[in-house]
Amino acid sequence: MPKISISINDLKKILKMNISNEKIIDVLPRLKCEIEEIIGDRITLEITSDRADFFSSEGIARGIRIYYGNKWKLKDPLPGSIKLFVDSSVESIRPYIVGAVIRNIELDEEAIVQIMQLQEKIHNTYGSNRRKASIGVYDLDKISPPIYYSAFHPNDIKFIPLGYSEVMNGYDILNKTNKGIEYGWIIKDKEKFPLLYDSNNVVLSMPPIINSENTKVTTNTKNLFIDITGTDENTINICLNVIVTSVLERGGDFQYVDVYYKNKLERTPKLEYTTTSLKLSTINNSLGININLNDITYLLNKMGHEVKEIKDNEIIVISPPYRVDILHEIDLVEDIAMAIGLENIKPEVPKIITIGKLLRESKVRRIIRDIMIGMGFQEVITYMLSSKSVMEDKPLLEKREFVELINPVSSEYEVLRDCLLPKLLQFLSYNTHEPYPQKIFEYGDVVYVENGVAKISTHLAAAISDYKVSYEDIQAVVVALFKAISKNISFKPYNKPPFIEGRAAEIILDGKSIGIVGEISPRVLVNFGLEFPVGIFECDINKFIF
Amino acid sequence: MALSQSEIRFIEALKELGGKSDAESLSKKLNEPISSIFPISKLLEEKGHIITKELIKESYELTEEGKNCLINGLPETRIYKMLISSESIDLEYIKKFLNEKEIAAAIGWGKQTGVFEIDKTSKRIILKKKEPPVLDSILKKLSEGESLTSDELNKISELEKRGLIKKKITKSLIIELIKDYIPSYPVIKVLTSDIIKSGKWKEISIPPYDVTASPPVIFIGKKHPYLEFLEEVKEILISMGFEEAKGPYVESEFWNFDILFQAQDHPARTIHDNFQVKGVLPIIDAPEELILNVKNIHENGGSTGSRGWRYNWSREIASRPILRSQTTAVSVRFLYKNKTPPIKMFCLSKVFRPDVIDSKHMVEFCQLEGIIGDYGINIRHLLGILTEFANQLGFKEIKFKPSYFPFTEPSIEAYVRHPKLGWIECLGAGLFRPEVTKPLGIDFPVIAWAFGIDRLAMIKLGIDDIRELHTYNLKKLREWGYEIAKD
Repeated sequence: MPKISISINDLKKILKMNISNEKIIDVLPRLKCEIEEIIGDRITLEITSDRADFFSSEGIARGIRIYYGNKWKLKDPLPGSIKLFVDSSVESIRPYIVGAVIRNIELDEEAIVQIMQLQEKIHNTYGSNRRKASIGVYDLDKISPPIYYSAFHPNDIKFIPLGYSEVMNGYDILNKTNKGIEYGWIIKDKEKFPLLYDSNNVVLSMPPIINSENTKVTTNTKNLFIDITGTDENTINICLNVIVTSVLERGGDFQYVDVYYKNKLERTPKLEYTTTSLKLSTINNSLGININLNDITYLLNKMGHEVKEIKDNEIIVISPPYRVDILHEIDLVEDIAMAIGLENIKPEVPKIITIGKLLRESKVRRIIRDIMIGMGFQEVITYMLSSKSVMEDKPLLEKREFVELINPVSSEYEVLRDCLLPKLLQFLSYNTHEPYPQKIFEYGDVVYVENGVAKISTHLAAAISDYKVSYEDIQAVVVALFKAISKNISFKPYNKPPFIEGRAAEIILDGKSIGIVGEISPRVLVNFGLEFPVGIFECDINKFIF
Repeated sequence: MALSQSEIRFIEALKELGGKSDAESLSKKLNEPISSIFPISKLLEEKGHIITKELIKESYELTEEGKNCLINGLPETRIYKMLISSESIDLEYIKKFLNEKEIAAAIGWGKQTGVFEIDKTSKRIILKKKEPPVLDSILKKLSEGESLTSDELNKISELEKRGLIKKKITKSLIIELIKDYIPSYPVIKVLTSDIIKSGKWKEISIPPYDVTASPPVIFIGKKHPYLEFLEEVKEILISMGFEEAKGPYVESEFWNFDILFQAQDHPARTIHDNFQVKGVLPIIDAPEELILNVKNIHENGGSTGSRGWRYNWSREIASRPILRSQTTAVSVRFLYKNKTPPIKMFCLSKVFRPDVIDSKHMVEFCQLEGIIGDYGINIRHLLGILTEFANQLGFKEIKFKPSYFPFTEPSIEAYVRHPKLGWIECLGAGLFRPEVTKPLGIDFPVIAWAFGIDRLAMIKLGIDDIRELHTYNLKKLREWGYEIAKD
């Protein structure tokens, strides 16, 4: 979930209402803004990723103001518009763009910080790390409209990127600037890179990487041009709604941008309200409450929604353009729950009579564990994720297919174990300084690959290690275990690693091999750094119980 | 002073070894690990029965270079062997077989013994007299532990100087009996079945032991404390009427995400938040009808009245195999198979997520998932069941806050109050969205929650590193004591 930082003073400046700090701190969590930390004037908040309108202090101020009974209203647009021409060369690279103008605004340093933060958080969430949507904000007075959006060969792109002092070409920007290194993957395979520039060929930005230094927003900026480019038209439109409505909370007015595509014209920002039909029964059934239509209007207003019409038991709800998270009437039910306050919804234990039951395998697990404990074995648990060398090389086991991670974070955890035996040897290897005898067992799931399909099985493995351990010592455990669960087993010689030849056997039940038992070969012991002999067995519980 | 049973056995064994022995022999005689010899000998020494003396033995062992020489021959030997057949050899020719360091050592030896020398003008090594080098045989004897003649002993320092062998010091404990224990006569060491059957016990006295002395340590079979906690949790859920379920660890993204209405470009679906796997075929393990329903829900909301996420849903992304990142995948699989209410299910199992591994984060951890589905189930029931469950776990206070998860609405997170640690965030919960339940064929509400159960296990077990739940430390497991609850 995104974390943001806001200033209480800045928040109050935008709020334009008389409210105590305590009241602010009380209301924030009710609006899903979780307070992480308060240091002096600054609050760190964790915002839920659906609420893009709360990614900066402007939207939060609006949320608080509305919660305390004030209405929100979209300002009227300024007359006129500026033109933005889209060249067809961007179609296969980054086809869509929307834009907006905001005039007569005053920005202090905190305002710029908040706009940057809003941009960044939208990039990371709705923007899919700028791939799907990336935002640019510019000083309009440094630009001469109309504006052009087109793609050029990287060698033909030349401008000073934001935060740098020298002219770079498209490749230099990808290779030398921080943003280029971070986001270059989005366009680096394209023959041409997208570029936004004005009628004097002044470059605004190379989306989705970086803006130009020449069109930078400062505290002297009075008029803004905003653009969002991307691969999904709906996403860039809703992101623009959030940005424009947020910035307008600081003052100023907006003006449309007419986007001319080859064969269509789009006027943005769209700033459309959403209409949702909400049934009274959905509210009462979901929340287990019984409220009337009047209360619902009050509660919806508190969260910024308007009730347009009520017919029978259906409420037609209008949500403001910045509420891009409303997909279904159930989202309005959540807003009503938040307006009521969760502490005012009385918990009730459901009176449903059901019979609790364990999975059969959990019952089996309890029985087998008890038997092993009875034989004096210490239970251990190891991770299902394992290093491949522990599973294959060290125990000299054959090469085989594992469920293997494409993106492991450590070579210790790169495959899912398909047996437990190597994990027990690894466990013993960490405890060579501990008094012997050591008797350990693990009961757990393994995952193996069969014809390209991952299969789960449950295994039991146990090991005895001491100054001397014989085959019989561990074989006796196997015999006792199966006797205790009323199964008749026999043994069949098994001459494969990790065992000493002639000192290992397959465990046979009903003519089927269900496990192995034996003395570990010294070659394997040395690989695990073990100096005491080990007798071990492992059996596949699924082969004889489930 | 009375002696313990193991002390008497110790003295008896020492007597059988002639009253004096080293610790190794005594350990073999007693069939006890050497580590148990030291504490008993210390006790017996304090009681005045034995004296112990540390014995330092010197021996030699071959260095890596020495071992090489043992296989290939010492450099001078190798040169000498070549000279035997040809009297003199070109230095360049020798360089093919020996490195510079070896040649220098060989020439040094040749000069010192007068066996061969280098002619500076012709750059050839010339044999001066036939006298084979002897150091090889000494090296061989040392490696096999044979004793050396006095002549050979004199050459030891030369081998050491050349770095072919090194001195090894081994310490051993010599134990000598100075005072036998005094048995009251006639004596038996151990009461045996024979003595009882024969009636001999009437004629003898049984000597006392020092019954306050520490006995040998025994290690009992014990269950793993973490699993015991998880069993306890299962017990609580069973008692509340929940049925246990499980599901695959390797899932398609379809069951892990798509069916849970998580858009395919949702931030939690990147490679930074999931383990993608190879070795497994990309298959959506679901009927075509379900797949199409989910596709429609994502693209336009299907028949749920939702707007959907409005993008082109990809079957390829949905079929990618990953390690399950949330047990909610198990809940939806369960719901798909069990459509008759009432449903109360739980799943306590592993999930996997990439993370920087530290004391708070592990890439593999346990999640406790629960769902209740029935006509008339609502958010109040969710708050009620969570309050009750927290109570059963020993948390008397719980508080709820609104939250966000893509598959529930309303979404809630809960905090429980710990007497020392304060409020602890422990679970996410909510009412499954219609976009989740409808394609599954479920027409009644379902409440769901997922506990970060490992956090609670850590609190319960008093550990502050999550990795210790899967500890490799046998000592800790052996010393872990059960706490018998008050009730």
